[in-house]
Amino acid sequence: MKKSIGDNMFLKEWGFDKGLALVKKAGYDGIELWLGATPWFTLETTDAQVRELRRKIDDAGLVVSNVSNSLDWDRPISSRDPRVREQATRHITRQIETAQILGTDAILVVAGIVTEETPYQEVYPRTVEALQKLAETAARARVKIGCENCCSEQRFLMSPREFKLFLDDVASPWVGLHLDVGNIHDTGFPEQWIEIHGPRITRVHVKDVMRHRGRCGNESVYTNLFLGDNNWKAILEAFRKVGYDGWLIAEMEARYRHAHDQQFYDTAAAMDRFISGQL
Amino acid sequence: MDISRRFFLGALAAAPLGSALTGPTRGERSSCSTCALPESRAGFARALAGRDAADVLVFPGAAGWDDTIERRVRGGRLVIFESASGFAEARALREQRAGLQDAFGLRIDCPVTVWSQGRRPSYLDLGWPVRAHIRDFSFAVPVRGGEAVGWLGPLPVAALQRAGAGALLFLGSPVGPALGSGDPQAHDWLSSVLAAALSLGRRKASSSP
Repeated sequence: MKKSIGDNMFLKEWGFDKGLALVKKAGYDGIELWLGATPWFTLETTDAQVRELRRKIDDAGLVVSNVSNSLDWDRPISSRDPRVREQATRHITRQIETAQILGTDAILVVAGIVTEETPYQEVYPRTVEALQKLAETAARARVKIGCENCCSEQRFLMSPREFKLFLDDVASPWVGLHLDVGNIHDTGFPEQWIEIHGPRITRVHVKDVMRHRGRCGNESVYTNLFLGDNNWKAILEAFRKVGYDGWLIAEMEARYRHAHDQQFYDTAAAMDRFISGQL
Repeated sequence: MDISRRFFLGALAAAPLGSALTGPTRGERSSCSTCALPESRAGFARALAGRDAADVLVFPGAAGWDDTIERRVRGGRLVIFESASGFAEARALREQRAGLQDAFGLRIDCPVTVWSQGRRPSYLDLGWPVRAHIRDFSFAVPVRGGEAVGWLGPLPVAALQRAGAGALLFLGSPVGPALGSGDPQAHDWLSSVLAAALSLGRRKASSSP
């Protein structure tokens, strides 16, 4: 397995170049680029500018693990408003285009968001329909769409079996699961998600979770690797069982308050321990 | 060729909804150009498929107005006009406002954003021809005039206006998406509307010379 970390972890004052250098120095193999989350990679970033980002990544001795986006929460493909759905289709299509330019074969989307206003029974068919259309674009580009399990935040596809039925309904080999092992909270166990989804897992986000805490105030439910309640040994065994040998991407929601760069080193070291099985 | 939204609505109105949607070319073209809520169109189409809806004409998720509606209503049709002006350009509301006022004396207001006003959970209460309790669809167009037959809380958003041998049923809160998602009350309500339209048609036939 290979290690990656998101460019949305960079401090604003670092900029892209300094952040890249840190990612390399901390020992990662790749970087996850977040469309819409940083000034260097937005919907207005041209193809030429994306190529320039790739050149910098190549020069740093890294590769792009995947392209994620931070836009789905405000512009979900499950919106009641067709105009918003059109915007969502555009930004996901742009993810696919930029993934090709950046030389990666996977993107992350948050597919479908249930709210009090937009109920589950609407979100499900709309999301399936939208992904079936996007799957055609993804197939042509040979880029896989990984739908992230943001279970608690999305209020959608809460269990691994529910997620499996959803992917069955989308029915495309180009749409799979971008598994976040920290997002399952107290609704299940990531190792069981891994066994159920196996070859459909496109990429993996890693962080740890404190199940007892819940999400209250400014206290994050997430924490650094090995500090929370995830059973990392069971997770590793499940990966081995299904043969997952792809990217692990650090997505640390809880950030260090001091020595911000130290979190990059500490996380990389923890990921090394995990990959090597010294648990 | 510059084709107005009105033209397309007119083209759609040339056939009952079911056949217009399933027809080869015209339905396809219309569905893209005149309806701001494709899932409302799909919901009505699914609910009407295979049913006797000859006396009913539906404008699902309409983003404009069609000047032939008045003639069709007066001729004995029951026209369901579902406004989607909350999901369309301002021009759609202007056209609908003028058309409904001129032809039927109905006055509509700007779409309200249901969920910004703190009403939760929010349901459309339809009262004609049967009662139905159907999920709101975020935007609603208040209506005054005619017989109020649907409310979001205290706000009238559906009206029935009889004219000539027929009637116009204005829906300011979309019902098509609920039909599409299989809401049983929405389906029962539509069945009752079809039955009411049938009796309108019979009355028209018996009064004809």
